[in-house]
Amino acid sequence: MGQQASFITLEASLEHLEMINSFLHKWAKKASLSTHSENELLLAVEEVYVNIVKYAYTKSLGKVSIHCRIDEDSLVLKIKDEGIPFNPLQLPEPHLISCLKERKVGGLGVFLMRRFVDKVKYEKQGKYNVLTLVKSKKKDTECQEGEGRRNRGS
Amino acid sequence: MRINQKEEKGIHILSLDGRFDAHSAGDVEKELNLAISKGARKLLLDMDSVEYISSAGLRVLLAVAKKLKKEEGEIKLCSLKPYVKEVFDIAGFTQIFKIHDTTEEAIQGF
Repeated sequence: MGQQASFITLEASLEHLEMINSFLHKWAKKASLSTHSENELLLAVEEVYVNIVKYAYTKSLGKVSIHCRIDEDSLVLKIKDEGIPFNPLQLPEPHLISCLKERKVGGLGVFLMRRFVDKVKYEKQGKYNVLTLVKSKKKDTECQEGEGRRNRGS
Repeated sequence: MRINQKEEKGIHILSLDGRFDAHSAGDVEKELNLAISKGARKLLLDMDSVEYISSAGLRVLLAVAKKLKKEEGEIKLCSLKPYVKEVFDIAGFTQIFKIHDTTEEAIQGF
């Protein structure tokens, strides 16, 4: 059961990225995420948000809302838009070719988003695309404990 | 994003300070392209004050690296923070770019 929850609704525009970051920063603090995990979460949300800004609404500016809640072990985000139906989980993984000449520019956003959260779920709920991202708090605690041990040992 | 530029031993050094995200990527790309159009062929990006990067930042770096290669130039990076390094590792960019620990080391490597 969610302990705390809130949401933010914005017009889908790159100008609002900073507002989203501030909103997420507060929630990352509440969930006691490390700066590293917070950055991973911000990246995941940025990639989803930028896709919505670029591709979801073709005729006019549309809305995006981000719902946040803290569960016992995780921070849960739901990102909703009313744009063109798009399931990012159906995108094929990019070819990570190490040759500069052959490497294609772009195509990394969804791939990175999937790597930086613990669970991703896509649902079409009526007119809404709903993407749920779950970032575990548990791994962070383990990581911080590990860092602490290393610091004390140095 | 603040971008400071200087030249040392024929190497154009750009020090980035801020978030390299979808909002700032366009400005960084403009500055890098401007430097190339003015003749810079050896570019060094000092990332010491970049705490955050997303795919928008990666896209700019790759596009600029490709452009420089065509001009027989090269871009190197230095001083990556742990999170930025993680993004580079996952995206396979550590195999594409020459990355050094310090600016001095990177300058010597050109």
